[in-house]
Amino acid sequence: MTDVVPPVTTGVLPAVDSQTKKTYLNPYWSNKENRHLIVTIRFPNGKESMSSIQDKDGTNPDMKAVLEEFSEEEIDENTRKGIQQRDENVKKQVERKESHMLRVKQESLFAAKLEAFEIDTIKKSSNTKIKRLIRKSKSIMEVQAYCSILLMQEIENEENEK
Amino acid sequence: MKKTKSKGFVIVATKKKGFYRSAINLAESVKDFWPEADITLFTHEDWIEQEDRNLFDKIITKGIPNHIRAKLWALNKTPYDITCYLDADMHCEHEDIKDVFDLLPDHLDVVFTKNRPYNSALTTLSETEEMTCHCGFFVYRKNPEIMSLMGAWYTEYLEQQKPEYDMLHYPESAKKWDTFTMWRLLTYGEQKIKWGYIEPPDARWNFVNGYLESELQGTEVVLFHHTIPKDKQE
Repeated sequence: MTDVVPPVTTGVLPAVDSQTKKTYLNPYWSNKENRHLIVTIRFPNGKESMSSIQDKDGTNPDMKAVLEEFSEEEIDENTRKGIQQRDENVKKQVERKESHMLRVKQESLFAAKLEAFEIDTIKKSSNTKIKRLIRKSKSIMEVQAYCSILLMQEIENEENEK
Repeated sequence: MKKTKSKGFVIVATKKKGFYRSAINLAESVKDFWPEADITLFTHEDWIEQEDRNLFDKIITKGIPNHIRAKLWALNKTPYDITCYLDADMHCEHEDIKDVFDLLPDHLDVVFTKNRPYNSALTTLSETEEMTCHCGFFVYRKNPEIMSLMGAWYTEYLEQQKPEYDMLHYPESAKKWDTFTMWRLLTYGEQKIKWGYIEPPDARWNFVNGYLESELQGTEVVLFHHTIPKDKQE
């Protein structure tokens, strides 16, 4: 069995020093009062990870490094932009969700109108007034109601002609 | 005496029969609100039902390509001085349709409604470039510049579909959209086009399925624009 030999400290700084340096990107406050930062750290191998740095006692080396590179104003500005972006994203998500729900509702209503005009008596009717009301209807119930009225009138007309 | 300009609608239904059925429904809906409306249909001869002929003042079938974007081929063949192009999957729901040609002011040659990013598959092309014209509904004037633009729209779209077409820094997903072709022509094309957007509430003229009601600003939908489900297209 071979003993594990600890590495010898030569006193010469390793040349990899610059390669081990982390890069800090886009730091912003999660909670400024509590000195809580969120920052993306790029490692020498190119990988990036988002980190949360809390530094209540002022000893965290990452916090120190960030504050050496970025002024407080820059971090405040990043925070402002981040909040704005987040708000915009939330707004977009809400709009898309609302739009999706509306699409389902509007599709059903349109399908009902199409079905109404597939009824031969309605399609061929010269009662433009009610046909317009069917096309304008805002709900399936309205489509059905106007269809019923139109069909009744057409039946009556047919009987009167006999 | 000044000759009155002819005004009419152009609808194109090709490739799939469902578009023809939808075009008929659209024409019927326009006629229900405006019986005097002039409508020209571009379609395939063998699809035409005899009873549908009365809806149109012209049906053009000669030379029409069996292509999903045959609309681009048809646009510069409009018989009207001022044309309102309507996608076949639209539906008229209001008598204000008779005011549609007033949307084109004298100082412009073509007007569009705006795309709504929350309801569009793709609008952003880059950080600074956005496709904002909705190409399913527009009103245009027949003049050499616009006829040239419409002709280029078809030929450029065909170019865009070629595998070797250089999309530059634009998303590959834009390739299939004729909206992208029109955007390029309006932004970088050689034609000097006087174009613009229809004033809000523009959405009432092309109310695409999924639009928020607030887009109407208290007005009513004139043209509803839906999407024909795949199973209903054949």
